Amino acid sequence: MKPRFFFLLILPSFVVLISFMIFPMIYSWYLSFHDYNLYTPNRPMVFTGFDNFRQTLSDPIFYSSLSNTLIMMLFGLSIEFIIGFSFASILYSRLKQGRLSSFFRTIFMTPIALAPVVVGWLWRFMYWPKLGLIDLLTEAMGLRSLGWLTDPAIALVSVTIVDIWEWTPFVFLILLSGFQALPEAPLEAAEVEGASKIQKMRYVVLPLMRPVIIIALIFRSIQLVKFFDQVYALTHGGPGFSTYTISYYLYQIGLFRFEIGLASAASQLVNIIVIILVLIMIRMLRAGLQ
Amino acid sequence: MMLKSTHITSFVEYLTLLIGTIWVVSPIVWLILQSLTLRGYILELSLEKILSSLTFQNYALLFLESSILRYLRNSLLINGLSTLIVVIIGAMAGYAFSRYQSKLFENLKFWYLSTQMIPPICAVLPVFVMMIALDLVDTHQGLIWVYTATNLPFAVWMSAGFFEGIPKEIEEAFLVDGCTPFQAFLRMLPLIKGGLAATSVFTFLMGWNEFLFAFILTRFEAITLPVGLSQFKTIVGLEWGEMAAMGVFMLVPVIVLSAILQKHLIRGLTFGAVKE
Repeated sequence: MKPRFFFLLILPSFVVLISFMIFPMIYSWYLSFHDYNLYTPNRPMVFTGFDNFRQTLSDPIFYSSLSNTLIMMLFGLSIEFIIGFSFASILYSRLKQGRLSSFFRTIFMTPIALAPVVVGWLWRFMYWPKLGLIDLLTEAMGLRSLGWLTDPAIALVSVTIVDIWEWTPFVFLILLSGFQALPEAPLEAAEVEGASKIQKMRYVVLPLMRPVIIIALIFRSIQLVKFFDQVYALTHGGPGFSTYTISYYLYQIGLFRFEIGLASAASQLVNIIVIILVLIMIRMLRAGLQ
Repeated sequence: MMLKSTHITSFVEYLTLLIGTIWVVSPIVWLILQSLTLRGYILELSLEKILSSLTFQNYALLFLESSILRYLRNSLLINGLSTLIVVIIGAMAGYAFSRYQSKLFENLKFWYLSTQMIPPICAVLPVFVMMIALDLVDTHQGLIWVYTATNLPFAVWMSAGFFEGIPKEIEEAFLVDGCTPFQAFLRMLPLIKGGLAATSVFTFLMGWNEFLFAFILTRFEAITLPVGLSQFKTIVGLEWGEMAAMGVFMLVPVIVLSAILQKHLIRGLTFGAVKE
C-alpha cells in the first residue's frame, strides 16, 4: 500500500489535534509574553517580554501551590502504592482468577467511575461538621471533631485522603493485572531454590513488576498535576491558600482574575515541569526494561 | 506451630481485604443513603432511623423541578457526537499507525500521546480565548470539538493496539480479493468491533465525567451534568439531597458500562499500556 494512503488516514485526526490542541498551546506561548486581561478585552495586548514569567516566579503562592501538589504526590502516591500493592498481592495469591476476583474488581471500580467533581462534593458532605459521616463516626466513638476542611493545618491532609480514596483502586487494579501477568517459571524456580516469601517478593516479583509499577506511577503523577475538580468542590483552595494545587492556582489567576497573560506564563512553566517529570520516569521505565 | 502462623497470616489478610472493602464502599453507601434522606440531612448514625426515614423525594424534586433533563440531553448530545467522531477518525489513524512502519509515524504516534500530558487547565486558557473569538462559548459545537481533541489520542492508541493483534495476512487476502486499500480497512473494522466498542464506551465516559472544560466553556444553554450538579449550591445553600441523587444518577450508567467492560478495563485505564 502506498504511504499516501496512510497519510490520508491520519489527516483528519491530525487536523483536529492541530486546531484544538497544538494551536492553543502555541497561542498560549504567545499570550504568555503579553499583558492581557479578559476583564478589559478591548484593550490591545501589550508585549511585555518576560514580565509574566518573572511575576510568576516571584509569587510565593505559585511555590506553595507547587509544593502542595508535590506533597500530595510524595505522601498520597506512597500510600496509594503501599495499599494497592498489598491488596493486589493478597488478592492474587488468595483468589487467583475466580468469580470473587471479578466481584472485587467491580467494587473497586466505583471510586474511579464516580465523576471527580462528584467525589469532591461527596467528601465535602462527609467532612461536614455535625452532619457528615466522619463527624458522626468520631462523635459515636467519643472523639473530638476536627476541622477537616476549615483548619489550615490539616485541610491538605483531608484533600489527600480524598485522592487516596479515589485512586488507590486504580493503582490496585493495574498492579493486580501486573500480578496476573507474571510468568510462572521464575517464581517456581525461586521456590525450588528455597526462597522465602519476602525474598521472592524482593528479587523476583518486584523486578518483573517494575514496568507496570512505573506505568501506574506516570499515570498517577500526571493525574495529580491535573488535580482540580475535587479541590474546586471541596475547599476552593482554602482556607487561605492551604489547599491550592497547581491546577487550582492556574484557574484562580486565569479564569477567576482573568489575567490570561500571567496565567499562560505560569501554565507554560507547569508544562515544562510535567515534561521533566515524565522524562525522568520514562528513563526509569527504559532502565527497568533492559 | 507452622499451621498456626499460616492461620494468622490468612486471618490478617482477610481482615485487610474486609477493611479495605468497607473503606472503599462506605462513601458510596453514604451517597446513596443521603440521596434517599429528606434534604440529605442524616442527623444520627442509627440504621433504624435512617431506614425508617427513606424517601424518594430528592429524586422527584430532581426530575420535576431542576434542569437535569436539559443537562442530560446536553451530556448525551455532546458526548455522543464527539465519541462518534473520535472513534471513526481514531480508528483510521490507529490503523495507519499499526500498519505503516516508519520513523516519522513512530514519532507522530508518540506526539499524539504527549498531548495527554498537558494539564487541562493549561489548555483551557487559550481554548477559552479562542472560543470567545469563534463565538462558540456555551454551544454544543464548542464542547464537541474540545472533547474530540482531548480524547482522540486515547482512541488512536487503543485502536492501534487492537489492529496490531490482527495478522497482516487477513488484509492481504482482502486486497487480493480486489478491495481498494480503504475497503480493506473498512472490512478490518468488524474484526476489532469488541475493541472499538470498549474504546467508544471509555471515550463517552471520560466526557460524561468531565468538569473543567464544561465549567469554563458553558454558561447556560450547553451545561452538562457535572457542571449542573455544581449549580445546586447557588439556590439556597447546598441542596445535598438533590446533589446526592444526581451523583447516584450519574454513577449508575458508568458502573453498568464498566462492569460490561471488565475484559478491556485495565487496557482502557492505561491507554493500552497494560494489556490483559
